[in-house]
Amino acid sequence: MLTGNLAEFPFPALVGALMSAGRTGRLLLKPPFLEGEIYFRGGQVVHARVQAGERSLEGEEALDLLVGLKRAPFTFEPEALPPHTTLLGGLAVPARLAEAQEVWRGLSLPSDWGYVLRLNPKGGEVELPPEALRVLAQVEGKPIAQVLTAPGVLRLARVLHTLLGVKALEAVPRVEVPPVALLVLPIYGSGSGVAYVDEALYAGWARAIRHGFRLRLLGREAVMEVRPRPNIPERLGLLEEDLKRLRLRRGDKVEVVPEV
Amino acid sequence: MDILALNEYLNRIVYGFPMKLVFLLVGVYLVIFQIRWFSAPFRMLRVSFAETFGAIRERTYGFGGQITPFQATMVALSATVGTGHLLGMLAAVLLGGPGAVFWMWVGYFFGTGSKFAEATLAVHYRRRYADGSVSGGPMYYLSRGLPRLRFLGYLFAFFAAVAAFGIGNLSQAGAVGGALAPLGAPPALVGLGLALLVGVVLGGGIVRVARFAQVVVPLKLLLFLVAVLPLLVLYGGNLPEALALVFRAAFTPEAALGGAAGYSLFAALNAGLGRGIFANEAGLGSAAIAHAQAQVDHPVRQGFWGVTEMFVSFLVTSLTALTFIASGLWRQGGSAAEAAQALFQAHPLGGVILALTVAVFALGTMVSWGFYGEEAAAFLFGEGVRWPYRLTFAVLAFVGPLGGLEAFLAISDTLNGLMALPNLLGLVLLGGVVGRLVYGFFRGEPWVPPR
Repeated sequence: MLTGNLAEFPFPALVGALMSAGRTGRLLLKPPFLEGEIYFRGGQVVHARVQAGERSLEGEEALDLLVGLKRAPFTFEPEALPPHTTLLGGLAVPARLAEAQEVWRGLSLPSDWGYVLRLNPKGGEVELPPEALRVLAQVEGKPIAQVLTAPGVLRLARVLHTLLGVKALEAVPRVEVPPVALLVLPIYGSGSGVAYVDEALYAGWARAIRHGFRLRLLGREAVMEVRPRPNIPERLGLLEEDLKRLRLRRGDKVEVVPEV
Repeated sequence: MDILALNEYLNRIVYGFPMKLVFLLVGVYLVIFQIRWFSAPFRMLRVSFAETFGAIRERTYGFGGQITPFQATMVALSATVGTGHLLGMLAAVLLGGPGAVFWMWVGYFFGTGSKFAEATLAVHYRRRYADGSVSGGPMYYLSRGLPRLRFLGYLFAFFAAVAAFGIGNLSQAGAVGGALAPLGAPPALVGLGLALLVGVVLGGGIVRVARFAQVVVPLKLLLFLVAVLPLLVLYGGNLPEALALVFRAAFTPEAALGGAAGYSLFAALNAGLGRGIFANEAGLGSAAIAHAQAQVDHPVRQGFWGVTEMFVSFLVTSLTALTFIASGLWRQGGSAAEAAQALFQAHPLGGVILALTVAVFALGTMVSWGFYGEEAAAFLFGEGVRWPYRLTFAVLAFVGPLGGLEAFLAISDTLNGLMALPNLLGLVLLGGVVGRLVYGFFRGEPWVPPR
């Protein structure tokens, strides 16, 4: 069984190597955000499929998408047979791979397609073509992998590239950190809009999120800048002005969750 | 000069009027120039309440350490609210007249500065160990905060470790035995019970001491209310007059009291300040040993708990004094014990409630002082001394109700007073640190412990 990562062995080169070796079997790609498989029969690519959430693609469109993956663990299972064929094999496949590779080379999307797309709150005023507007209207809150898993992969990738480039959209990591209940602790000082949490909790969140994040106070509809502070385990430090604004007092229990 | 004569000489100095003025002046310096209560008095008051009574529902939530700020305050209060709040208060009114109460309040007010600074410095300079335990108190802030005057810390620790055996143990155990004797409790049995209780509680370390204090302090306050409330109801009609007398007799006792019993301004000042200083232990440094144990994110937060400790002590002494003045029994003179018997004759439960209150007050004081002494001894001789110290403390708790050892008691009383000398000097020299910590706290800055 052959295993590795596309970061070290790019997808077109990997497929080319398996084809030239005349292998039969299944190449399984499993990044966290999608699942892709390509079947080889005697060195010919006969089936490709991609599944992201509830969406899936087969055939050439699936190949187009998989070429764009910059990093993903892969496994080659020899002798596995395809459920059906969606590709004819022959020279059409390497040609399609080369064409897709050329397109992807000109695009700059985040390498982690698990990132979620959302309208950029800091975005300025831009003029967009109708197709971009149509895409913009449909992508809010969806992971990149799921948006791309639709017919016209390369066209969609180009549109996303444009929307991210003009900062109409931003891609942020999906935060799956459970809410934490903390006790309110007054911090005396001027200013507002800043919440303090214990250094250890902050470090845990930073490790899990790996991106800048803010803090949402559940049930209070407040999103605040969050900073680490020593020696306040199980506490949420809030400045006096925020305590007044949020009608909170010392010892109140508040559920908080970090968000990007 | 033999040792007892020397002891008496020193005792007169450490409990004398000039020393009381030193206590007062240190408090004034801290309150006005370092903590600056008056810079924003209403904000200070609001924050003080929010940080203490406002945080009472968090009493079981610490900041990840061994005991909570509330528990640390209970340990300190367990030591502070003792028999001095009852019999000592009556003695002060008998000696200084009603005006003494006013000067006691003055002592309490400026004592908040000393207590606040002690609690704050205790947390700031405490030592944290790998097992999560901490040790602190004047011996630590004197030796770490004033490295060139390190000997002050050792001096304080020596005074505290020895004083705890006498004033914190023998005299308290004697008070318990004395209070329970009229109820038919044999002194030997009382001593045995005390020795076992003290041994078991101290043996559990600060966590068990805190749990004990958490029960005994509310019990003390409950017993005190049961003892005082019926008398307050009985003499309630005289309370406005008693209060007016306190203020009138504060400056011109001769005119206010018609020259009764030879009360003078000096007598009122001396007796009142004495209570306002020694009843709450502000300036002695003892309570700082308990406050150091609190797990807080900033030392100033514990400083506010120190003020709360003063407030509770103030309420107990004031209620005792006002009830006594309202009863009019202070005019009859006599000793504090006789006055207490006379006062509680009017109580529905009679002397029983007085005996129980005195016994519980003394018991709580004893356990907390045991911990103070143990911490001081551990500072001097290392961790290995803890169990020998505890056992010696338990043995002396047995001896206490049986009486004797008067010479040792007298010396320990002087050592108790001597604790204030290094501590007050340290509070003055480290006042700037307290000021900076308070300034940083009110600017929202996190606490940076010293290296």
